[in-house]
Amino acid sequence: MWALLEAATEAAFDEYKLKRSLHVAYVKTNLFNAMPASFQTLDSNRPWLCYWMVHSLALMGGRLGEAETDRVVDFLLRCQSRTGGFGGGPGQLSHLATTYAAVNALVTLGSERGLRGIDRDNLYTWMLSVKEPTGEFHMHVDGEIDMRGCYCAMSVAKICNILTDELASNTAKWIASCQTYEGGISSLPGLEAHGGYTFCGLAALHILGQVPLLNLPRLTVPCIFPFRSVHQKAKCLLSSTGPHDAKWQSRAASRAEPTSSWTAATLFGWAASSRSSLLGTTTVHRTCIILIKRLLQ
Amino acid sequence: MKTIGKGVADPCLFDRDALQEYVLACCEMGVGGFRDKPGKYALLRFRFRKR
Repeated sequence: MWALLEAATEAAFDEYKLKRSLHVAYVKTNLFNAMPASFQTLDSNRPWLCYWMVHSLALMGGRLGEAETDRVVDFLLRCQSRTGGFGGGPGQLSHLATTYAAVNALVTLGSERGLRGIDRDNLYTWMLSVKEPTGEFHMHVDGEIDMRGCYCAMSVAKICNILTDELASNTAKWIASCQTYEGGISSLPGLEAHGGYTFCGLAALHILGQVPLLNLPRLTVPCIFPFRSVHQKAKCLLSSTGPHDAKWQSRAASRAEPTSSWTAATLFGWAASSRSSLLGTTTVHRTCIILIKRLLQ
Repeated sequence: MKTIGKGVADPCLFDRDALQEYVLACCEMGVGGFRDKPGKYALLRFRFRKR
């Protein structure tokens, strides 16, 4: 009876293979076709949709033809504002999040025309205009301040090679001031720590080379603890069943490395998009754990 | 610390295989795309052109 159950479990696990070609087809279909009316609320996030899809394709080895690449590049460049930065669509107000998405999508596409199309001078001036002297960033002119702004600004500035001391002044200090008693990072000083903002703060500090400003052991504990205890519980259960434990170990050992790094990379991308409302919170937390783990290595 | 692949020590603080299985088992959609978590749906539609 037990052997039967075990065989069924193993068979079920073996079915879990990434359906790569289906995902590539899914992404390509949605990248070039009109979306349903219910998606009008995402009209101010169109560079994000490009970024998610272009990035997924790149991770899965799906290729875009020259004409297709040009189409995406054209669209993204039309989102660029004359005063610097990218808006959520053509003619929309420049926003740090969509700037992050557009710049990263252009970089992922790698087309020379696209990269030359980024107006770095105006981008720099605009980013300075949304920066506060104390280090934090508004998401857009007169917009809200939160941790996403720091990450988007630092990431875009770094990748465009415009990360000057002037642009980075006080930012690391401000981010560190958002670490709460729980260990995680909040959107603003004094608020509750949050998985998505923890990612943004930690990644921005990593870009700035200032991670030691954080209390890293404290950052790791609350994120890891619940996960670890579940894992330990699972391990106890497994070890009590004897032969199953050996099976589990051999199954773990037979896993190919590229697949796990793909998963890590995908999760990194999802969290990098910081659309925590579109993601399960567990996904965001797990991504943080991956990043923290990498940093601690 | 367990080992993965060809005896490489994995310093992971969590179970990578379990995480990978969670994503594939609970979030991958049969027609392509991923969802946030069980109970949600992949964001976009699945329209394949017939050629």
